[in-house]
Amino acid sequence: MIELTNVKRSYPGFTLDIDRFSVEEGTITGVVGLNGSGKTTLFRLITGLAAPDEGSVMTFGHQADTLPVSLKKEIGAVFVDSGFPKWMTPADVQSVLKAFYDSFDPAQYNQLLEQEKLPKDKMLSMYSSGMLAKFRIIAALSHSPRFLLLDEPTSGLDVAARREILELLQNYMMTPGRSILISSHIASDLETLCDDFWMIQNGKMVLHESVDALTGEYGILHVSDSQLEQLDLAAVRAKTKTPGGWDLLVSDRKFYQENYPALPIEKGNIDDLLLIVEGDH
Amino acid sequence: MQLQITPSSMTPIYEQIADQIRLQIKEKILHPQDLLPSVRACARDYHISALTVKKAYDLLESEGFVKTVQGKGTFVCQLSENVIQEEMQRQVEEAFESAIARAKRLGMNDEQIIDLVQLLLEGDSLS
Amino acid sequence: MKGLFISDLIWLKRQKTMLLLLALLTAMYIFNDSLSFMFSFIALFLSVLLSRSIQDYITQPNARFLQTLPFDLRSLLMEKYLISTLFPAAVTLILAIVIFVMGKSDWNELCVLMSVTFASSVLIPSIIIPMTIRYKDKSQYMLMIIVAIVAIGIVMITDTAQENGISLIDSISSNASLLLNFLPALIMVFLAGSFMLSRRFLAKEEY
Repeated sequence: MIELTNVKRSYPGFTLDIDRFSVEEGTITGVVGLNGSGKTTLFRLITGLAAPDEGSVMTFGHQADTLPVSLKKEIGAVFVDSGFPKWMTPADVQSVLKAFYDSFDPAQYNQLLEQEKLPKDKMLSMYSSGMLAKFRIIAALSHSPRFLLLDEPTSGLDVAARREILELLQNYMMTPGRSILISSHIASDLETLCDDFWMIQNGKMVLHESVDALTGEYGILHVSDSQLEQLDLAAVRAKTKTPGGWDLLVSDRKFYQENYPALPIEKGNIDDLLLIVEGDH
Repeated sequence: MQLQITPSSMTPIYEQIADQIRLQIKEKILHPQDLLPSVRACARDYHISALTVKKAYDLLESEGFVKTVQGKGTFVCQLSENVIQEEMQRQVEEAFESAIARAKRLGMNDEQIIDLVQLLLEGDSLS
Repeated sequence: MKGLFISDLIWLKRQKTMLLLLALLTAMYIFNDSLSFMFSFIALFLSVLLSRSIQDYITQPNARFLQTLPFDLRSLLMEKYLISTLFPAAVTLILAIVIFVMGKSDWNELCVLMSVTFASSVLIPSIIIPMTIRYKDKSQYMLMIIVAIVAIGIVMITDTAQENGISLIDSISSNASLLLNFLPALIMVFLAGSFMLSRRFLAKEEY
C-alpha cells in the first residue's frame, strides 16, 4: 500500500535516508524511534505534504506528492497537534466531511461520538486532549479510508482512553483491505496493536521485525564484562554498555536459554530494543 | 471461545493460544464444526498482534485440529478421541526429548536422568 | 471544493457579532445617506476577511492536517478567489437593491457605486491571497495598511469630487463606454495574474 525506495530528503542539520520502507495491505505497522529521528518527516512524505529530494514514495501505487483527489479520499490522517480548526464543533465537522468524502458515513460518525461520549455541539477548543484524540480518530475512520496514518495518537492519554482508542482501531481493521501506520512512544500500545514495526534512527531505518518475533523470539540479556567475553554472540542484534555490564538484544532467546541456562533472560520489548540499539556504538 | 493470555510469560503467545485451543477441543468445550473467532477479532479481544493469532491457527491446522476455509473462517475439525489423544501424546514426547537432550548436553547419564524424573514426580505427587 | 465552501460558510455563520455590527453600521449609514463610504467599507471588509481564510490551509498547526483533505491546489485557490469576490459582490448587490427600494438613490448612481465596489472586491483578494500565501504571518500588517490606504483613497476621491462640485457619477457616466470596455478587461487581467502567482507560490509550499 505504501512503498518507499531509495528516498532521500535533506533539511538543515538532518537527512532522511531510507533504502526501503513499506506498509502491506491488511496490516498494522508501527514506527518507533527517538524524537527527531525522522518519523514525522516520513509521514509527511507518505501523505504528500512534502516531496523527496531523491527516490520514490508510492502511496496506493501512485507518487505521493501528486496524489489525485480520488486517492486522497482513501487516506485518513491523524496528527497530534494538527486538525480541524478549533472554532468548529463536531456537528460542523460532519458537514465538512460529508462534503469532502463520498464514503462518509454519518450514522457511524454519530454512533462513535455517542459511544465515546463526545458532545456534538461543543467547540473543539473546549475538548480535553483525550477527547480531541478520540475525535480526530473518529473523524478519520468515518469515511472508511483504505489507509489510516496516525502520528502519536495516544500521547498524553490515560490507560483507559488509550485502550478505547486501540479498540476503535482494531474494529476498523476488521474490514479487509485496510492498513494502519502508527507512530508512538508508548511501547505497550504498539506491542498490543501492531503486526510489525520499523525502527528509525537518525533518518535511517535500522530494524524491521514482526511484533510476534519480538515478543516470542527476541530476548534481553544483562551480562557482566567477563560474561560477555565468553558468550556466543551469533544471535546478538545489538548491545549497549551499562553500569552493570552490558545489555544485549538477541534475536533468538531460546538459543541462550538452552546454552546458558544460568543467565536470566527477558522477553523482547520495544522500549528496551530502542534503548539498546540507540546505545550501540 | 475464551482464552487467557499471559503476555509476560516466557511461553510465546502463539503457543499459549494453540495449547488452550487444543485443550478445549480435548475437553469438548470446543466441538467439531465450531467456528473459531476471526484472526482480527482475536487480536482485538486479547490485545495481541494478528500475526500471532494467525501463527497459532496455522500451527493447529498443520496438526490437523482446525481447518481454514477461504472466506468463511477457521473451523474445528471432526477428530476422533484417539487422534486428539495421540497428538497431545506426541507433544509430550517432544518435550521429553528436548529435556533429555539438554540433560545429556549438561553431562547427565541415563540413570541420573531417570532418577531426576522420579524425584520430580514424587515431588509433584506430594504437592 | 464543496467541502472548502462549506467550511467558509460555517465560519461566516459563526461570526455573529461581527455580522450584527456590520448590519448595524449599514443601517446607520443608509439612514445618514453616506452611501459611498458604506459601499466601500462593507465589501472591502468582507473581501479582506475571506481572502485571509486561506491562512488556515497554509500556516501550522492546522495546515498539516487540512492539506490531507481531498482537494487539489487549484480547487483551493478557486474557492478562495470565488468566495472572497462573489460573496462581497452579492452582499453589495442586495444592499443596492434595498437602498433602491427604500428610495434613497437612483439606479444609475447605484450602478456606478456597485461597479466601483465590485472592482475593489476583486482587486483586494487579488492582492491579499498571493501575499498571504507567500508571506503568511508577516503579511498581516502590510495588508492592513494596503487595505486602509485603498479604502481611504476611494473615500477621498468621492469626497473630493463632491466638494469640488464635480459629480463623480457624471464623469463616470460620460466616459461609460470607455470604462465599460477598458476596466473589466484590466480587472480580469489583474485577477488572472494574481491567480497564476498564487498558484506558483502555493505549489512551492510544504507542510
